[in-house]
Amino acid sequence: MARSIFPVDRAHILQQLGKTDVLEALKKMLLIRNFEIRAEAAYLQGKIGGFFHSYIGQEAIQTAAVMAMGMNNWWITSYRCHALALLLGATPDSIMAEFFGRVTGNAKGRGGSMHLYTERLLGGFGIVGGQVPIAIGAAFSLKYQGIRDQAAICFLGDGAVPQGAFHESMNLAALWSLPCLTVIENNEWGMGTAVAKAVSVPRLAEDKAPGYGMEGFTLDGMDFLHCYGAFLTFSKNMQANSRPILVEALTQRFKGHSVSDPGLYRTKESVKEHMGRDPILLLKQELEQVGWLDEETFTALDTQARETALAALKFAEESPWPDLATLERDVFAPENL
Amino acid sequence: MTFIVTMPKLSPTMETGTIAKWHKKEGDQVAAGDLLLEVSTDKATVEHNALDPGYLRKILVQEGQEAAVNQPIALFTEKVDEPVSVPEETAHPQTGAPKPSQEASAPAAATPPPPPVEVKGERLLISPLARKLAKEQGINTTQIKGTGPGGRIVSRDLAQKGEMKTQEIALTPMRKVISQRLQQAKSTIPHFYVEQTIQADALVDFREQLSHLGTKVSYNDCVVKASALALREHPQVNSGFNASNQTLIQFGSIDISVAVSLPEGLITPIVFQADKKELQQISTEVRTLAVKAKENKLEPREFQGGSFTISNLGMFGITRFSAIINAPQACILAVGGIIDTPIIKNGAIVPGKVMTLTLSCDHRVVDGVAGAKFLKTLQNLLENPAHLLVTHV
Amino acid sequence: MTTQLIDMREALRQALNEEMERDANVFIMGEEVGEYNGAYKVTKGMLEKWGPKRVLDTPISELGFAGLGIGAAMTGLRPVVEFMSFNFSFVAADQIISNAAKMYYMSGNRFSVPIVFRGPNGAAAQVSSQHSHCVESMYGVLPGLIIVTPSNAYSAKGLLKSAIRSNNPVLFLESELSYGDKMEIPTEEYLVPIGQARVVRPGKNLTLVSHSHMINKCLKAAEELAKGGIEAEVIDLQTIRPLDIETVLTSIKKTNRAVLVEEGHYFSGIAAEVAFEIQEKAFDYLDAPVLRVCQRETPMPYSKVLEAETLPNVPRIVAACRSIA
Repeated sequence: MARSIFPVDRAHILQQLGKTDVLEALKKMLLIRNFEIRAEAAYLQGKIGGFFHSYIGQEAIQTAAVMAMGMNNWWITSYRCHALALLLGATPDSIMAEFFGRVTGNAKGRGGSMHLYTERLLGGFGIVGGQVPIAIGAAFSLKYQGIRDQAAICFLGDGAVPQGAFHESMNLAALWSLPCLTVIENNEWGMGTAVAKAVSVPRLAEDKAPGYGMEGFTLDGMDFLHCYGAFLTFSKNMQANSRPILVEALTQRFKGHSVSDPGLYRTKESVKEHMGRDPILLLKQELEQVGWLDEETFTALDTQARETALAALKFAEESPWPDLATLERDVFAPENL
Repeated sequence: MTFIVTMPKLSPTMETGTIAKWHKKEGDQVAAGDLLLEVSTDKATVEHNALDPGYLRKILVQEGQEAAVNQPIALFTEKVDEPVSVPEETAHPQTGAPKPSQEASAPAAATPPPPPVEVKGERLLISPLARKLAKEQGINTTQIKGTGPGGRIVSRDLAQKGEMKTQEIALTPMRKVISQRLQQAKSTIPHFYVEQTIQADALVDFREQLSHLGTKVSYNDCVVKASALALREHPQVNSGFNASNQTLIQFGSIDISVAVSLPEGLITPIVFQADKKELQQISTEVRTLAVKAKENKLEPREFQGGSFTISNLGMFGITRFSAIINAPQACILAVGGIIDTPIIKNGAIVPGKVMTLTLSCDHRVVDGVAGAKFLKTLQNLLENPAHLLVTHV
Repeated sequence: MTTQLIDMREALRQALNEEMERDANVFIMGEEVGEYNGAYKVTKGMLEKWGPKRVLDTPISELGFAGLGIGAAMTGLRPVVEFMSFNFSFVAADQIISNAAKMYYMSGNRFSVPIVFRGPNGAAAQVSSQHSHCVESMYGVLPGLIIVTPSNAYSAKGLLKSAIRSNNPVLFLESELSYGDKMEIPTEEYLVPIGQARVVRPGKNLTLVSHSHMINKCLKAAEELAKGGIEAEVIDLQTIRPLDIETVLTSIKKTNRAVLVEEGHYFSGIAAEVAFEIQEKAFDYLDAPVLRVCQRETPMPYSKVLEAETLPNVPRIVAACRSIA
């Protein structure tokens, strides 16, 4: 059965947002794009260790969500967390320094690229699907404290859907009516496994949500305006009825699962085709059509984003390492017993 | 501006890669994202795209060649017509090694072991191993200074006492002989012992007088002469036993074996016909023989034989002792030191000097009465030392 | 000071009620904690008192509700999550291990996790191999978790209050076999600090160290030993991690001998850790090797006689003590 893409009046959204805000969205996406490219290059020089999961290609989804709903919610995602951290206020400098393991890093060098945090970002999680119960816990907190104008937004990949944690969380969220927006970013590949070989039903939200007694929707994850409009609606609905919502955002990652992944499970042609729907390109075209952007301005914005990323690299390179004497400190939070 | 492209690290464990194929050649314009080259790693052949746009000016590592991760493999310029200037980084590539922290930090070390519980006075600090070894070796642990943590006595502290190792050492030839002969003598000869304490004041006086006359003799020399004279009167004691023949040996001459202590054991050079020699001569001979003994220069005929042995520990202040018979002789005389002691003279207790003699006898040859009589004669001679100067031919 | 004679389950209930009174952010969650009044009746009457907002019955979904609890703890609340038994915590192990234990350190001290996971731990009455695990050494090996093991009503109440007030994740391991044990405890409010062991029976010949339900066996063994002239000093660890080794060492200074008793298995158990620290820090005070009496190396069998044989028992403890006295 074919998916029904959530209906959004894109033109209306465009006008509602206005030139400044849409350009702001483009800037954010360009920052994410350039940041990920430069960080990945540093990884290939051996300056960043461990794993590196790039968000390249998926920028529209989280940019739209944060802009539509505002930072003042509880946010959570998987190890593919660099974009969300940037969107939620972590500076490029501090994120890059975290990648480099320096004391000036986002988590003082203790987390690494999979574990980034801000005041409202609960992480960055390494275990696939492990973040979903945490997200419903955050939603539970909001409900418990009577906070009705905020929600918990949880991002996960298609590969996480088979996890028990997903199932248990969706059941609890619907059962207890928790204000949790769960967004499955379906980039069609769980590492090297096609989603059709991992999940028994084709439409991850539309087919699964009814089984939990919640609503499910499908979004075109490459289209910023579409996503923005959808998230606006979801946000309003959740504030009204405090019901959880399950969303599948169809997207593509232009890189492998992580830097180590040569991506041999898909053809170069298919990747090239997907890159034809690059969200940045799509939004650029949208803006050019209404005369809010020209090539020169775009290049300037792109260059500016690259400069920010390069400056972050320099900052990280020059930052001090954590003091070894502090290794065993702060395993526990201070008590006030 | 020139920029360098380096060998990328395509897997966490990759250290070198081989250029499988260049997809651009020198002079080409390259856009960001263009496929630039393929690299063979230990795991796979992987494509690598250009990061930044520019013009490929120089390929530094050719197809089929290997390069280390971060090693420069190509030079690019941003514009087509600029000269290629090799930036300093090619000469000194950044390795990304950690710089020391700007805050003072202690070097990373294993967590130091926590200090042991402070031990109060009464408990001896000694390891179980050292305790066991000390017990085995009979060492008093309270006298050992411990060099382990907190002053604990550990096994190496026992080794420094020099008694650490129990060893089995092969016997020297002399030791072997001594061991064999004395074991034989002690286990096969029926020893009995007769003891006589003599008043030595006269002897002390005698020796002193002689010394004033320029004649130096030792107490042992006197005992040798006196024994030789006493043996003349008691030839039964100047005898021996032939164990193989089961016969009694009656020696034809009085040849006194004198025990001499050596670092490696002891030896008994002989004063032949001691009864016929003057005291002075005996003294000289014994001295000469002793020197020869200590220099290992005694000939067999000088220490093999003899009819009676004298062993003296008096110079160490020994009160008395019993010696093992020097087979095939029948008797051996053990001489103690001259000791100040209260004696009874004319019914009163007065200070005196005494010397204790102990005669070991082979009961197969010499009976108690014979031994006793010999000793009484010897006593008389030593208590009246003028006898020692009488020449006997 | 006035006292009340209550059993451990009621002591725990008092702790929960007092802490819920004190802090509106404390809530209880678990299977059958509400309408059923608690599988072991610890939460009896609490749904009626506090209502469904603060006493929540969960579906059988340990991974889900443990994670929910952790998320709630990260975002301002102080959950008390009941595992009907700690055997079921394994379903939630990823949340406990990967998230609760790590969060404060991994986030660069940004998010703390003031959560309590509580429930019965260890063997019950013939509940067989899947319902009898002793989890203290399995979780104890991870930095970031606090592990508490009360042995009586007094320490149960005082320690649970401390656990709820702690800003860190606490595994609060109770024992089903002890829930009915009665004891005189104060009526006034009191806390028992986390990380402190207690001498429950003084003695000068030998130190007997244990925790949780095994303390009862140790006390019986001590009585038996006293008949033969051996005075055992029994120490209740009360908290496994952080371990109060100082109290143990002070005792060893006096007695020079130690036997460690735990319900968990021999290999890599709590006794192994305590014994190592004893020999490391009080080597010069030992007159004998440190011995341990633990559960034998089999999954828990069902049959009554096999279960009794595999668990530490008084004769085994007494024999171990006598062998080094």
